[in-house]
Amino acid sequence: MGSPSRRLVLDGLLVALGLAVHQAEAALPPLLPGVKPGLANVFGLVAFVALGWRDAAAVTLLRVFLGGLFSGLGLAFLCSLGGSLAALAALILLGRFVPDRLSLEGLSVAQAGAFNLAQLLVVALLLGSWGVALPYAPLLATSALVTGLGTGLLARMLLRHPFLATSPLPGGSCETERRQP
Amino acid sequence: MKPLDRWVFGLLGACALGGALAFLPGNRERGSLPVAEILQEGRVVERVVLDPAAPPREWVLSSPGGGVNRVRLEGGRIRMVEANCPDRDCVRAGWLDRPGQTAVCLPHRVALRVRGTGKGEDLDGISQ
Repeated sequence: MGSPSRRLVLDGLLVALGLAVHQAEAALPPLLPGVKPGLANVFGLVAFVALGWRDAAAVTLLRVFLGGLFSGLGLAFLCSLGGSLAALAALILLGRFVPDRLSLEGLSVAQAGAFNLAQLLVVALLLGSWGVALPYAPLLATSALVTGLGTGLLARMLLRHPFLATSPLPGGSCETERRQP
Repeated sequence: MKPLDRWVFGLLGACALGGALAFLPGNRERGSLPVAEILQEGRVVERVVLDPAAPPREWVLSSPGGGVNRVRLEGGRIRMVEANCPDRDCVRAGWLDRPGQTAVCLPHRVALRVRGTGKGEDLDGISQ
């Protein structure tokens, strides 16, 4: 897991990166109603693999709340919060099976599915009607498969970065030391 | 492919396929039927699905100051049929049946508005 300062720096970095991606995505027009790439979760996955589920939870929730402060604590925030809590639940439930029985991509898809399911619930509760929200289920399940896979693959690529994979902070005195995350 | 991956992908794939089968063919028409809203003083007082199969209905809306608007729903369309305001713009707006169409009676602060359902309109604001 590395030193406390490494952990702090990584968490902060991942929150900042996630927030930037989160905001960039929010500015883009949605591909389809209700569908967003959800790329910000890449950093949650990275935090999970590099540091553990507590850090993943912190990175994700901080990003959601800060994103809410930037773009308003409106419906998008509620959907985001509900979805993220569900995705974290999926992480805590299934994270222990990674990487032996579940791949990072599989975890990411499960998270995306949980996220979308919770989002559907939030929308149905707010509109007070299942009729409007439920027909979205197949679309959201499909998008969870696609975006979850993409997010998982991206996280895997990012985790190959030497900074995340093995080494402590650059500029330290341990460049030759190889540490397992 | 790890063992649990199959469960994750399978479950979501089943949701996608099953849901698509359940919702797309049968409910396409019902799901995409527009909804009309009758607004009075800016508040929605009535919300009806513009279902061509539904029996005709009428509403009479009275406003303070003696304003009266008569609204008729018939054959999947809705319109103002009568208004005792001077300009009667709302009546001239004619039948409304597509999302986005409106008929507004400004003097009486009464409006008709057609919105989409199921196919996104309501969710667009949320997803952004």
